[in-house]
Amino acid sequence: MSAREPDPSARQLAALWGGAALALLALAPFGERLAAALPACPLHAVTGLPCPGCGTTRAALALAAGDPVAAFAANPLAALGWVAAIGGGLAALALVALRRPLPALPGWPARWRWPLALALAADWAYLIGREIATG
Amino acid sequence: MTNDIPPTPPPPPPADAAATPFPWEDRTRIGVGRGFLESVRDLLAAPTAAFARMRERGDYASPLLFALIVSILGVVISQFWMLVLGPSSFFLPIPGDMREEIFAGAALGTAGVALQLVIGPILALLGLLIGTAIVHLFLLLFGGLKESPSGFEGSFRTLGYSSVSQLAGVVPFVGWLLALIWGVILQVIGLARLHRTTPGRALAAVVAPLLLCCVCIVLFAATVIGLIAGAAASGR
Repeated sequence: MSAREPDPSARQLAALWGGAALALLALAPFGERLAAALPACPLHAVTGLPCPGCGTTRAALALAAGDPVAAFAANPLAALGWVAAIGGGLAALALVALRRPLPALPGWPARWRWPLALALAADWAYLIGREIATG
Repeated sequence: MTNDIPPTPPPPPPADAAATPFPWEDRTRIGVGRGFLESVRDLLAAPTAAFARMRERGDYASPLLFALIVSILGVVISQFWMLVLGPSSFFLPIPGDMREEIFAGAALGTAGVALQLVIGPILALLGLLIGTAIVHLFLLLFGGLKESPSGFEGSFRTLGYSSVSQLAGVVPFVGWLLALIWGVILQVIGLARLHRTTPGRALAAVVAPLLLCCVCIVLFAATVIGLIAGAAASGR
């Protein structure tokens, strides 16, 4: 990963990502109330089984409460995603604010496809297994 | 098993966007109101031409601002119908108790609507970014980014402008379904155009997360098929 002066799109995306990370942190105290307004998962309501995204909100609420263990238990991949989204966003915002060159992120190599697919499948299998185990 | 079906060719290169820019991206010249209305019209009547006229890179602000305006209008529309008709304003082919569970938190009341209008744009920004990340991830999984000249911004622009489908909520009962169908169509057209990929890959990237996370679509399709099959059986 090399540092270089990015095109305007990269700087805009970095600012946008950073703004979103700040927004997430600002909304964290209201997380419980916001989550209550979300519709329930249709798949879970109909079948009793979780969808791949089930636990994403609970993971976010647990992280907001400073409980990473509960966050990873709720949905490991979602918890990782939240940490990456907020941490990466704050780092990007800092680089933009300090007018530092943004790192050139690697592209999306095709070899990432299968590991990503397997990670998604493993995460969903964990959610279903936990649901069955806990009834 | 052999794959004899030739791949759908990628869409042709875009028309000269500078000659006839997408109205919303020309709003400094033609005005915000006219730019918005003409963009909504174009995305409804001629979406392929609309996506062909828009820029590919260098402007995250335009699709973001467009999506924020649409989200505010969407909140007003959906809460209007929710207040007037209640949860029955959303036709869903599922039993009533499941409907109540799904919509338990949806009716917000006046204070809730006001709050949603305040934080709605923030949530729209977050939803747009998260939704873009999910679709972009699935595009990667389905090999839809091989020839992409616009990268993440292409997905962001597509989802930002496709959010116009929320305005279909003006139709009571089935507005959400029209918005879903219109949104999928717009996203497929936009992703295929901005990533230079096939409509099939774009469709897979858009529909896969919906199928995985919203089985209601499957249920709806099953219900429709069941109704058709039932009607056909009774007509014999």
